[in-house]
Formats: sequence, C-alpha cells, structure tokens
Amino acid sequence: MNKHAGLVLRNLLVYLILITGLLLLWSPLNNTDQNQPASTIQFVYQQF
Amino acid sequence: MLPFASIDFFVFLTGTIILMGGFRFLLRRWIPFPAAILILSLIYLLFFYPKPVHVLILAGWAYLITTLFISVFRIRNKVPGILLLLIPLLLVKSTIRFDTYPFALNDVISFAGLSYISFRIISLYMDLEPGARPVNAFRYLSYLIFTPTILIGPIDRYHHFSKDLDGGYSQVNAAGLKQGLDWMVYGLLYKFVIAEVISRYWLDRFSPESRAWLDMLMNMYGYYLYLFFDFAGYSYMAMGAGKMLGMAVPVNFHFPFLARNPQDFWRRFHITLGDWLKDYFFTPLYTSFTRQKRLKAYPLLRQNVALFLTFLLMGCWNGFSGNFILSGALFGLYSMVHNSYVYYCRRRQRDLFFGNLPERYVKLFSIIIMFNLAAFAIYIFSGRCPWL
Repeated sequence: MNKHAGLVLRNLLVYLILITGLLLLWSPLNNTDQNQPASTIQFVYQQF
Repeated sequence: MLPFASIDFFVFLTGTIILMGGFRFLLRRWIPFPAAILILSLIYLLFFYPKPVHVLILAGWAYLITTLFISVFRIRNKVPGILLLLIPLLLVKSTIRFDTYPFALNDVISFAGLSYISFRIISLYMDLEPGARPVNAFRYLSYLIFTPTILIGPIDRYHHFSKDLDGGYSQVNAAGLKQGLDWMVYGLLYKFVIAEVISRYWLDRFSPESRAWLDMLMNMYGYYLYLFFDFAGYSYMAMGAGKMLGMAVPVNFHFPFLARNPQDFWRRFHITLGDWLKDYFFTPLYTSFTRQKRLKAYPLLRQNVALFLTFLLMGCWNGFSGNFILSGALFGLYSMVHNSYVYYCRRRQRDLFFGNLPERYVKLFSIIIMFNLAAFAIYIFSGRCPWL
C-alpha cells in the first residue's frame, strides 16, 4: 500500500513539475534567446 | 515538422496513436500490424517530413545494394557494399563540394536524419550473411522510416524491429499505452523543462566567448547537463511514442553520470551508438588486427589502436570539423588509458592507482573522475570552448 502511494505521489510530482515548467517556460511572454545551444534535433537538422 | 520539436508534431502523434487504435479494433482483418506501422510512418514521411523523396530514394538505393550484394552476388567482403551504402553520407559530410550545374550534388542528396538512417542501413547489411534471403522490402522501409526514430534514433536493429512487427496488434494495449505515456512525460520533462531551464538560466548567463576560468567551467558543466537532458528527453519521447504504437524502441541513456570509466560511460550514454560502433566497427577492426601476424604479440596495442580509431570515427561522423574530431580523439584517449590501466592492473594483480582503498571510495572517485572527463570532452564537442 505504501509503495503504491509513493508511486502515485511521485507521478503527481512529476506531472506538477512538468505542467508548471511548461507553462512558465513556454508561455509567449517568457522567451529569451541569447546564447542558447542548438538542441540535438536542431543540431542534426542544421547539418543538412 | 520535425519529430518531437513542435506542438504540431505532438498533435500529429496523438492522431497517429488514435489511428493505430482504429486499425487495431476496426480494421485488423484487412490491415495487418506491419502494414499499419508502414502506413502511419509513410503518412508522416510524405506529408510532414522535409525532403521525403530523398529518403525514399536512399531507401531504394540501400535496398538494391543490400539485395544485390548479399542475396544475388553473395559477396563475402562487406567493404565495397558499405562504401556504396555510405556514399550519400560521405558526400554530405565531406567538405569537398561537387558543384555540378545547376546545383551542388552535396545539397541535393542531403536530408535531416541521413546519418541515423545510414546507421540502420549498415547495421542490417552487416548482420546479413552472404546468400541470405532478401529482406521484405516493406519491412525494410518501415525499419528505416519509423516515425519516432527517423531523425536521431535510438538506433534499433532490424531483427529486433522485425520481431516487434511479428508481435502484431496484441502489443498495442493498455499497458503499453501507460508505459509509453510515462516515458513521454519523462521525455517532456527532461527536454522541455529541465534542459530548457539549464539553457536559459545557466548557459545564457555565461558567454561561450569568455576566456575566464569560471565562465568556461560553467559552460562545460552546463552544456554536459544540457546535452544529456535534451538528448535523453528526446530518446524517452521516442521510446514512449514507439511503445504507444506497439513497438519497443531501445533504451539510449541509463544514468551516464554514474559511469565509472569510459567503457561504462558508453554503456550508459547514447547506448545504441556505442553498441553500433562496437559491433560494426570496433569488433571487425580488432578481429582483422588479430589476424595480422605482426600484431600477434601486441594484444594491448591492438586493442588500443582499435579503440582510438573507433572513437575517432565517432568524432568524424558528427562532422569533419576540429571540435568534433578532437572530442572523438579525447574519448579515444580516455578509453586507451583506461584499457591500459586495466591491463596492467590485471598483470600486477593489484590496483595501480587506488591501491588498497575501500571499494566504495574507489567507486566514488571513479565516478567523479569520469564525470569531469566526459564533461570536458563534450565541452570540446559543443564548440563553446573559446580556444577552438
């Protein structure tokens, strides 16, 4: 029972961080782009 | 629309999973599972992927060469076939330009994902014994263009992929959906939250042009963490999407920060690339060295040269520029030093560096050393080092 509760709590935490993070980082008002490195996808794409 | 790079793709992916459900419950009598995978991959390739015709031409070329060399002519020596299969990749990666009028040949044959598709092509070509029956052309195409892995892997093996296709619709189930969704959530968290936070609030604060030690150190550690979360996030999402469609995409990352030595590192970081290099470059090269009479008496030299060349190839594969080649050479150097260290420790029957230090401290120090060495080599790779 405890293990099950722990799992549920962990999943809730992951979803909470994910949703908060996505909302904070990817809202149109918050967009900085200075020295950002190319993501792996961009890196592969830029080579071609 | 590149895989996992925009909201559009996730909308498309949701549609694909719903369609797969439709195939499973309504059309399974008419559309078998392998056909469903091919149809869904083709929809993405033809309507949303950049340069779909290029991908199809390469797939056709690779199938022709593989069938002719393996099944028709039964050629034992694999080198000519590999060179022919690699021509497009070599042309694109090389700095030599073929400016044939009215276009440059290099540009015409290039498309995103060429490297990873080439890895899969070579993998199957190497696995087939001369005289083997030709592989099914539709399965071959599915293997090359499977949507979740088309752009940057993980690099699956044909026999594994084909086995999954044989598994049929039973693999599209609630457990798979749940597992896939879990991986997808972790992927999203890694790539779009953690990697993004590192990028915006860590790497952005330290200029890559600065030669101050603190800036360089922060760039080094920051980029290593960024690369891991970005790439592992992508790989998790590919695994998740694959699982939801009923296909098991191989694991690509497994706690690389806990690696204790270079060998261990490549079993944890970009695992499918490490395995690919080991199986299709290191092992054949080492075997050919072993056959050479002059090298018979030098087992350590044989291993070290094969190791160094393997990592040098990995560097060159990223591109023929100084930072990639140097980074590959650095990983090669690490592997050679570690291999020699293990060799001499075995011969002397004692640990030459850590002596009698308790195991838990040896483990801790090994992890710290490897973390820093890997961070440095990846810093060189990143192109953010102001000296390069």
